[in-house]
Amino acid sequence: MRRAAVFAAASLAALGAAAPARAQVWRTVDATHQLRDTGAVSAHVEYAAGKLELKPHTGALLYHADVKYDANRSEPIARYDAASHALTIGVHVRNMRMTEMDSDNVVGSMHAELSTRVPMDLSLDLGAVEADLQLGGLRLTDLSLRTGAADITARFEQPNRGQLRSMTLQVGAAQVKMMDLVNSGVSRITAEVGAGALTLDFGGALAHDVDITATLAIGGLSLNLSPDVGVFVDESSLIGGFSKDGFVKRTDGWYSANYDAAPRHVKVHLHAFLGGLKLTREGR
Amino acid sequence: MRTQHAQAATVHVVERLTFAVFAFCAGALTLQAQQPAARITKDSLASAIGALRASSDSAWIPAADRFSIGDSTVAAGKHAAGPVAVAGTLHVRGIIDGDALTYGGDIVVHQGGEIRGSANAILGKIVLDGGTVDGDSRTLAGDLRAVDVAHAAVVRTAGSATMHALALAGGWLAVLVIVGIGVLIFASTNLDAVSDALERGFGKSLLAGVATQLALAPVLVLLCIGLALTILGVLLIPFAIVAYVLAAAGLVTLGYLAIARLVGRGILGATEQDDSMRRSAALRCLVYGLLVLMVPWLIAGALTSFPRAELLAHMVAVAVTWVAASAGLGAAVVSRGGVKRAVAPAAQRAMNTASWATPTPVSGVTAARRPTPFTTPAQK
Repeated sequence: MRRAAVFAAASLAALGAAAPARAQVWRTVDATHQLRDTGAVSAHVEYAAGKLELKPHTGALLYHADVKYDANRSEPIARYDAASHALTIGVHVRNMRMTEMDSDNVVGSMHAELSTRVPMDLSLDLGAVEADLQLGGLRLTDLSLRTGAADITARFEQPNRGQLRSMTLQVGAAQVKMMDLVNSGVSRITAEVGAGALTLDFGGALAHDVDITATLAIGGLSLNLSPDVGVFVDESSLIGGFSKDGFVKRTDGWYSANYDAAPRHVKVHLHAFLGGLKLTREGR
Repeated sequence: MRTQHAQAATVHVVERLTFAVFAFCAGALTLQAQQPAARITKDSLASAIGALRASSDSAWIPAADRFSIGDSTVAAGKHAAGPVAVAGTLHVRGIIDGDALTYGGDIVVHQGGEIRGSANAILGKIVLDGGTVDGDSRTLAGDLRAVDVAHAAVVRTAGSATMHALALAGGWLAVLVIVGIGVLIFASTNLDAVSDALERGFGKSLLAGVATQLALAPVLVLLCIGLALTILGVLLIPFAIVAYVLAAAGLVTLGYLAIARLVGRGILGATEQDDSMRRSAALRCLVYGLLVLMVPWLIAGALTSFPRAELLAHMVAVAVTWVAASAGLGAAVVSRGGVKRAVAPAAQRAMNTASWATPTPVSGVTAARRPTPFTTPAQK
C-alpha cells in the first residue's frame, strides 16, 4: 500500500511536469497616427483576450493605442493604411490555451482612442474580453460588434457626430449592454444572440424610428424603451418569444397599445428558438 | 593672505572633488537607467536585435548590421532614404523617405523634419517637436527577451521530447490510478462483476467490445433520430449526446480498470482474504496492473530519440491498449456496467442442493415443496 501511494505521488508529480506553466514576456506598445485628413476611415478593432477600454480622442491623432501584451502568446496590431483608409488596432492571440483565456494574470490590456474628427465605419471583433466602450462623441457611420465570451458595456453618453446607418451585433456567449442608444442615432439594428444576453437601452427621446431584427438561439434580448415609444413586434419563435401584456394582435404582428398615437416607433422582427425578448419601459 | 588662499584652494579642491563624485554617481545612475543606449556595442546590439527579430511581433525590425551606433541627425534640407536605423537618439530636421527606427534612444522630429514612413522607437520615445510623421508612430518597451513562440510548441530537443513523452505517460498513469481508487471506493461491486465477466470469457468479452465499438456511432445516430421525432426530444439531443459519450467513456474506463486488476492479480498472485486485506490487495493489484499496461507507453516514450524504435513501440502500445480497452468494454457491456453479476452454474447447483438439504424451512411454500416421503400422499 505504501509503495502504491509513493507511486501515485510520483505519477502526480509527473502529471504536473507534463503541463508546465509558460513564461510570460510582457511588453508594451504605444502607437499613434497623426491625423492628416478627415476622410472617412474604416476602423477595425480586434482583441482576443484581456481588458479593453475604448474612448473618443478629440486631439490631432487618428488613433492612439496603448497595449500591454504577453509576447509569448500574442502580438499587437496597430496599422493605418492611408491608401485604403483602413485602420486596424488590437492584439492578435497566437498561442493561448483556452484555460488561460479567463485568467487575470495572463491577460493584457488595451486602452484605445479613436478620433472624433473623421467619419468612421467601426467594427469590433472581441473574444474573451472585458470591455468598456465609450462610443459617444465619435463620428460613426456604421457599427459592427462581434463577440465571444465577453462582458461588454458600450455607451453613447454623448451624441454620435455621424449618421449611424446600421448597427450589427453578433453576440456569442457574451453579455453585451448597449447603453444610451438614443444618442447613437441608429435607425437599423441587426442582432444575433447565441447563448448570451444582449441589452439595447433606448431610454430617452428617440429622434427617429428604429428597426430591429433579432435572431435569438438560446440567448435573451432585453429592450428598454421610453414609455412614449410605440412598439411593433413581428414574432416568429419556436419556444421563446415575448410577453404580450399590453400588446394587441393585428394581422401582421403585435402592436403596443400606444402605437398609433406614439410619435416614434420601434419595430422588432423577432426570430427566437429558445431565447426571449424582454421589454422594459424606463424613460430618462 | 597665503593661508587664506591655501584654505580657499583646499575648499575649491574639495568642492571639485565632491562635484566629481556626485557627477560620477549621477553618471553611473544615468548609465544604469539608460542601459541600452549607454552600453550599446556591436555585439550587444546584434544580440538584442536578434532576440527581438525572433518574435513575430518585432519581425519588422531590420537586422542589426543596418543600425548605426550612437546618436544621429538628419540635417535640415537633407533627404535620407529609409529605413534609418539608429542605436541611439535620432534627430530629424530634414526628410526621411521611409521608416525611422531607434533602439535605446528617442526619435525627435524637429520643426521642418518629416518621416514619410513610420517611426519606431524601441526602449525610447517619439517626440514631435514641430515635425511630422506620415505613418504610424510606435514605441516598444518592456521585457524584450527573445520569445520563441513558433518553435516552442513544435521543436523540442531530444531530451526534452523524451521527458515530455514520459511525463505524458506518467500523467495518464496517475490519472488512471486516481480514477481506479475512486472506482474501488464507490463502485467496487461493479468492478468485481466486470472482472468476473472477463475471467469467465476473455475472448467473448473482446468480441463484445469490438462489436460495441462498431455499434457506438450507429446507435448514437439512431438515438438522435429517435429523439428528433418529437419537439421535446429535439431539445434533449445535446444532453443525450453528452450522456451517451460519458456512458461510453465510463464503460471503457471501468473495463480497462478491470483488465488492469486482473493483470495485477496475475502478477501478484493475490488471493481472497478478509475484507480489509481484500481491499488493499485489490488496490495493489490495480496499481500494478495499470503500471504493466502502461509499460509499452513508457518504453515508447523512452525511445523518442530513436524514431523507428519509437514507432514500433508505439504500435505495440496502441495494440496492447486497444485489446485491453476493447475486452474491458466488452466485459462491461456483457455485465451491463457491472450491474448484472453472473453466478457460476456449479455454485448455483451447490447453493440449490444446500438450500434443499437444510432442515431450517419448516413452514411456508419452501417447506411444503420439500420432497420428504412422509408428506407425500402417494407414498403414505
